[in-house]
Amino acid sequence: MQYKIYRFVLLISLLLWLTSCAAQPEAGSVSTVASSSGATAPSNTITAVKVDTLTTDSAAAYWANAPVSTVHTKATEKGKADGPDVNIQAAYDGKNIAMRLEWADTTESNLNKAWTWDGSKFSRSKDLGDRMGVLFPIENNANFSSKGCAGACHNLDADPEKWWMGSESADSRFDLWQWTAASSNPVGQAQDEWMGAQEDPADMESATHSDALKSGGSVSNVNKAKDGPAFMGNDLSASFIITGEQTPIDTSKLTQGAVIPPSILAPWVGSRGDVQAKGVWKDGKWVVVLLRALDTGNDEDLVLTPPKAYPLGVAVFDHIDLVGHTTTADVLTLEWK
Amino acid sequence: MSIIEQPISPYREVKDQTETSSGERATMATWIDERTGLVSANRAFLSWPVPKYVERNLLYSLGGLTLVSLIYQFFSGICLLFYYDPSAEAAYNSVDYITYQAPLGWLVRSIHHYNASAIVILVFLHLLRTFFFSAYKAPREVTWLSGVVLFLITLGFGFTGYLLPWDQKGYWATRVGTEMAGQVPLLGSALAQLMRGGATLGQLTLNRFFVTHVALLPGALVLLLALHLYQHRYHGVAPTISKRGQIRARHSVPYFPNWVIMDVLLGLGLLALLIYLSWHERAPLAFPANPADTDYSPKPEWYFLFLFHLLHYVPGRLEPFLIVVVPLLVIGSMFLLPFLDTGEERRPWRKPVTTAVALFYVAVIIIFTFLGS
Ligand code: HEM
Ligand code: HEM
Repeated sequence: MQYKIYRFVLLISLLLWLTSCAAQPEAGSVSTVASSSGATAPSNTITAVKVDTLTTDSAAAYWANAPVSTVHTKATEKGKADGPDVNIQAAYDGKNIAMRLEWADTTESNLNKAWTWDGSKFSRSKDLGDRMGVLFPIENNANFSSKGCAGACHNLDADPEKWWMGSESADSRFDLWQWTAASSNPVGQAQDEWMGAQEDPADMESATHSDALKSGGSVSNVNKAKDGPAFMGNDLSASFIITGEQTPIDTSKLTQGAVIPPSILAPWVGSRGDVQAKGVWKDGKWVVVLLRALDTGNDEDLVLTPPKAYPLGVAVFDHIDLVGHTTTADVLTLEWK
Repeated sequence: MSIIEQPISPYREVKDQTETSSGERATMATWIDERTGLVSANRAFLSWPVPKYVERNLLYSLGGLTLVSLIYQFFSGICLLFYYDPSAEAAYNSVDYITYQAPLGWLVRSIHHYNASAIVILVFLHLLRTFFFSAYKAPREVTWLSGVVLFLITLGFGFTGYLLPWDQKGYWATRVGTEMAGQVPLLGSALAQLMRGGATLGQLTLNRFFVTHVALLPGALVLLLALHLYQHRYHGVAPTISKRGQIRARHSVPYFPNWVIMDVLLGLGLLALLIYLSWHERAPLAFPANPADTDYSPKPEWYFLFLFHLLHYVPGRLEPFLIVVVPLLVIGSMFLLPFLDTGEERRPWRKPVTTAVALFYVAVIIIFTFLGS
């Protein structure tokens, strides 16, 4: 008797097996939605390799062993052209992390609203410098972890003036490392900033704050009448002036069309200066290395604890303002090897 | 003369009063035993005679090893409870804290993580061992049936534990899991509602999974295990199926140390393996759950993968059928087995139909697990 039942069970099972092998997966069923294969595309994962000691040298030997993730950047404004692909690598030692970012840019824009001498007076240019930013949530953030930059970007209003970046609540913050060709690169830094919730709807950057500063930083190069620069650099061909390397403006030394940098720069000392940076523009591309302590000890900063994976986003500003920047569309993940 | 009056009790032997009287040193053990009976009970427990064929036989250590593994799981689970916070807002942060900041938290959580898989594998192997040795046959039906329930409890632990970190992986796998339950004909929506505590996954779901994982299932497991092990003691080890074993069966050895030593050594080996795995790669934690992220592609724990993947091959409208039929077929035949295969024959090669059905199930599970991974 029991063998009869078993034969029956066996038969049913065989039938099930055959049906299951013959049938094709059908779109829309629970299972297909579910298993249309999981992990994010490999290029969205940046794997930091372990090295002995880090530097900001973009040609350091260890970069040859660090996997390159190529990520695409997209315009925040609908209908605008995409930005460049960015090749990202990362490395870490016991104390620091370094990220090497490389992207194509046909023009080196290392002046931001500089002064131009026309032979009789100064005028302020509207040209902006190139910039690049790396954004991490400081606290665990479900929205950003699945959407990336879009999770911090509030760009749905028809009027771009009303857009803003930041988080929905004050206890969910972002750590922003902002590298600027004109003002942070010359002092070997990227500005360390943080973003919280929106504070003033009229100001699109009201959620963004610079980290605390003990001393240093740049001062505006403007005369008392505000119609020209107060200083010029000792080296007139340089695109920047470092504090201590300036002399009072002497127009007799300027030729027509001479450009005077708009700020006198000095490295930030304090939490704002946590991120070291070195960027070089050559052969139509920027190569920038950022270097920061895994744990800066400052409250405005994300503490990186390998082997925890971190979500991040990258934005590129090709001599353009906030509205015009291009950002990585999907969330990037920083992992550690 | 003993200091204790010895009333007649059905539960304890009345000792020969003269044995413990004058001249004998009242050791600590006799003192405790006279008052509790535990020392002699323990002695009887340890000296239980078992057939010699269980000695140094890996196959007979699978049950013991599962038990040791469960003890590790209880221990690590309770340690996790010191830090784990079962609220949808804080669960992820608490597991993040355990994994990356709490002292040795990474080790405890990783042991719990890897050991969960170890338990599933060990229970499955133990099930196969007792199946192929026909240990389910009369009079051991209850041992087998309690085993089947233990097996389901173990899977229940795996299913409910997966959600607890409240990360993308657990959230979406549970969402699919509860949706699958929702497809069961007639009972589906009530079942899904019961699991989720509402129409969607939320705080109530986490509460239910948490309570099930750390209270209901542990309670049920302890009770069932007591029954299982008592039945095992009561009936003694089932007859062996090998000729060599039958010869060795003429001799018996004490349970302690002859049988236990192997379980203990293997248990220590398992612990070393768990520590190594944890050190090599700590338990993963995906990004925090985002219910709005419908692009996320869920994947269940590997031991549910075969069912999940099987669904891949059936047309959508047959899914409810498969969701009910496959578990019913597998679990139903496990429950019915001792009442269907009632013959004297214990050797699997002499009962090809029973063996073939079992091998078929095992093959389906293994093949679809690999295909799905
Ligand atoms: C057969 C026994 C058990 C199995 C198979 C099991 C399985 C699991 C699994 C798969 C997870 C998810 C772990 C991860 O995130 O990787 C988990 C989490 C958890 N389990 Fe268990 N568990 C068992 C017993 C217990 C017991 C007895 C307790 C406590 C009484 C417990 C407490 C916890 C806690 C608090 C978590 C959440 C923390 C975390 O995810 O790491 N578990 N369990
Ligand atoms: C939580 C899971 C379980 C634990 C801790 C456990 C523990 C044990 C132990 C310690 C033994 C004696 C040693 C041995 O034969 O290996 C045993 C015997 C047995 N177990 Fe389990 N068991 C579990 C699950 C199961 C399952 C899933 C089944 C089958 C469906 C099962 C069926 C049996 C049978 C039939 C015996 C008697 C074997 C014989 O007499 O040779 N057990 N179990």
